[in-house]
Amino acid sequence: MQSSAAARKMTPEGWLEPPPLPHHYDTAENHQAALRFGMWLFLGTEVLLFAGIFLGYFVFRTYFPEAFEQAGRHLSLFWGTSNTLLLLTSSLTVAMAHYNAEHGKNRNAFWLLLVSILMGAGFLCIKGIEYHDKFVEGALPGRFFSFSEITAPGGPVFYVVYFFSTGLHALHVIVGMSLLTWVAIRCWRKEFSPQYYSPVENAGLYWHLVDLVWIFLYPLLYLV
Amino acid sequence: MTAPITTTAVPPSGPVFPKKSYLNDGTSIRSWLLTHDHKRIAILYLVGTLIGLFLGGIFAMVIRLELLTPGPTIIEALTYNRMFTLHGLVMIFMFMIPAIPGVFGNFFLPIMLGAKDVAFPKWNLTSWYVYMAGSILMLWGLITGGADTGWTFYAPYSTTTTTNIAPVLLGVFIIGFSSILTGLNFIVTIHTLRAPGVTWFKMPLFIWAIYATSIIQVLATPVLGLTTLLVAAEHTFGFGFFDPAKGGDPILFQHLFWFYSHPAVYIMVLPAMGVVSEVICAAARKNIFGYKMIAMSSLGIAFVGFFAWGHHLFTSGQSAFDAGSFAAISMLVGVFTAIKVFNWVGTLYKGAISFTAPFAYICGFLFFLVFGGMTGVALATVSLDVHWQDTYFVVAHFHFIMVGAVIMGFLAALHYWFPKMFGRKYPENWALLAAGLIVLGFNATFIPQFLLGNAGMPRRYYEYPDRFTSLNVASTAGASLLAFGFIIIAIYLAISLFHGEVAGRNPWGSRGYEWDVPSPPPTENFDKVPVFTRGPHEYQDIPEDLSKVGHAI
Amino acid sequence: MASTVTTGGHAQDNAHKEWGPGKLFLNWCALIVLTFTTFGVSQLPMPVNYHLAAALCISVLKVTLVVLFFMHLWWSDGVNRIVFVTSFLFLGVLMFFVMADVGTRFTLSNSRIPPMPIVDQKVMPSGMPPGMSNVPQGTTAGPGPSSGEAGK
Repeated sequence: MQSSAAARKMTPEGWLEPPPLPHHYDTAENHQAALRFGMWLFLGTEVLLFAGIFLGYFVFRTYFPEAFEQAGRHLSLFWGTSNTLLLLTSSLTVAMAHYNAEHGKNRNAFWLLLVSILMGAGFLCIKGIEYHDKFVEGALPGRFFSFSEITAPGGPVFYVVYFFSTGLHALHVIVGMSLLTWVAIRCWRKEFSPQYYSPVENAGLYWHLVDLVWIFLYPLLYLV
Repeated sequence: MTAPITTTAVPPSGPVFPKKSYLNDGTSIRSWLLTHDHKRIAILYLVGTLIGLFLGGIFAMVIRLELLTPGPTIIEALTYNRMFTLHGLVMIFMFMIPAIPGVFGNFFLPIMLGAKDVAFPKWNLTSWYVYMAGSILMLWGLITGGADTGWTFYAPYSTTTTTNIAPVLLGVFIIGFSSILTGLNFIVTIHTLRAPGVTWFKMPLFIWAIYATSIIQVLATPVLGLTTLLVAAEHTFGFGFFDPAKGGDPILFQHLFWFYSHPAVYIMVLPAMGVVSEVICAAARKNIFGYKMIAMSSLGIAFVGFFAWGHHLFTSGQSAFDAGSFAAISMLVGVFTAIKVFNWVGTLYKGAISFTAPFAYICGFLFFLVFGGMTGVALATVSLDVHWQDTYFVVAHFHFIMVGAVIMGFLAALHYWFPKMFGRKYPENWALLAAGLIVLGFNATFIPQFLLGNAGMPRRYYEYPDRFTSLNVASTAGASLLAFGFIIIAIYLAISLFHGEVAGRNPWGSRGYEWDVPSPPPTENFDKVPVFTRGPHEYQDIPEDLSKVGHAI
Repeated sequence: MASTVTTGGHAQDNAHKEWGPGKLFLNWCALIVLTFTTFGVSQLPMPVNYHLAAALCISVLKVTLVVLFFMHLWWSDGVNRIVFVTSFLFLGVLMFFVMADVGTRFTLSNSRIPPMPIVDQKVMPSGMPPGMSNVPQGTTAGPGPSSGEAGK
């Protein structure tokens, strides 16, 4: 979104010079602060987006506690925990990528971001496996439900909550991966420096939010 | 070259239309559609929202014409349901939510802060495209198959209706994104791009109003997004989230929906209140009474507005505990609104009022806000709401606020800032005539609806008993008067765009910061970072020597 | 001439205070430990509500670690912190009122929530139409609809 890398010259330190400051900002620091603030506001909106589905979880858990417990036990603890570990580790690599970009070590940042993206892909693969298992079992939402192992009423509703929350989350994982990919390409082009690293930071913030949502989803769906 | 501040005599040579301004800085369509200039984006929003106002008005007239007679008049029942759904969705999402922030917020926020643009100009343009895309999708969905659920699309009807609701919901979701982007942009702009000397309590009150509005937009709209997704998913796949037959909870839908939609009404009304603060000072040529109280009450309304949504669920089956809590909190909003009204009236006291068209709309605003607000507090009383819920009393209440307050605020803003935005004046006598028609027409339209509601006529009903006929006819007659007033405004404003008298920098003699720049302003707003030497809304100590006034250019 | 307020600022010296790879790795270790703790606690025999509470507490702790140190909110200016905390506060508002509603409404016929306590209709009329009661029919708790005191 900033001016193209082609227009910027390579500095002796080994990274491209920062893009020109937009005309309505007085300092680069102010611009960075504004970008960061804007991103935090956007993360706030994402928190409230997921708020509704978490509310749905708690409401229907109150109505159908047994079904939620039974269904939770039938979710694969192995896959769920693996997903959690994957996302937490990818959060680490993204944070390290941010550190590297902030110090102008673009190639390091690139590899770290690549690892993060691969972990995100791994997350999605595991999710795919889990969804496939649900289809096979008949553990599906609403009128598609046919999973006889859940005997208490409310089984279909659990799976509505499950699929909607994990599906919305997976969508955000895909968006996050796209953001990280775009930023990784820019790292490859050595665009970032101590004076300019906001895109890495902001993409990282989005990815961390994806991790945050999963930190709450995992115990509520798989463990309780 | 600046024109002297004066409200009466114009120098013999007359004000001159600036040669270069944001309007002619690039005249191709591409320069408009790919602009980063917040002022051009404001004009783009003006076009979009006026189309929404026009369409919403047409649907309103169809509704009122149908209600002329107790039985079928011009359309059939399903079409009637589609009409009020169209009217609600188009009016709210295409006009009421984006209009004042998108048009006047976009245009004047940076100028009032001494900035050259908003924080993220490209996201600003994106928000307009998102708004247009969402609007087109929503309209297309409404026209092809058309939702008949009402704009509130309550489950389980909305999840089981055979009408084509999915694109409508998707359109609403997308428009919501535009709202979030605009709010986000404004918040960051206010925090980071204020010129030196413009501290928080030196900002014009319009900015405070926009700030409070933007906070609501950012916090509340995502919940609407999720709700539309849930309803669309349930409608398409039959999930059973809100369907009690499948174990769902329809009241959960109402909670989720109104968690956004109640703060949404404050998104609509707060900017209009900001406009009132601006215009009332200029019209009365007086400092605002109680600047800090008005600023803080904007935030207060935004905050308390989030805790009041359950008053839409009084008769839906929510628990008594919730009903009582929401009732009490809803009344609190009246306190903040009353603070504003008293302060505005205090501003008028001993002011030197010039009765212009903007001021006429302010008068309408004050009158209708008080009555709309008081009926709101009455509706917040649970026992009274049991009688009035889903009747025309509620319809009249919210139209008093939506039309009586917000649209009056919009018209006041349009007339007050028309010279600044387009460099030309509109004909004052036609404007006063139109204002009179609108205020009169408004009264004639909606006061009968209070009486109808109290007498028991339900809302969204296609047919009604014969005894309600006379009041309905009166309401329709008023609506026609209202429509006539709007048409007159449209005509003279369109003519004034090209043939109006050149306005000069400050035809009102207002002390708002935006009147320091030329009319219309140049693309860059300011040559160098401006220094505002006076406080906001400061009408005392007008210096004789105008060179002491901090001119921006 | 800098703008009046630095918001979300990361002054150059602040950047040096932010954690490097070593401390970030330690943060990650803490998160992994907490994950396994959550898992372990879930295996303990406890009433379900305790499980829920424990799981939420540990999740909040993990989220705090991620937000403060991975997302740098510890070194960030107040405005960003206010934004994040505020979004959670309003999430709380939404949850509180809706859960309060769900918790104090009538009981549903197919749920395990016990019926609301029977209220002496003379002392506090429930406002329900005569003949109706808010107790599920067919249960042994409380009088049925034929009770002459129901409704006022």
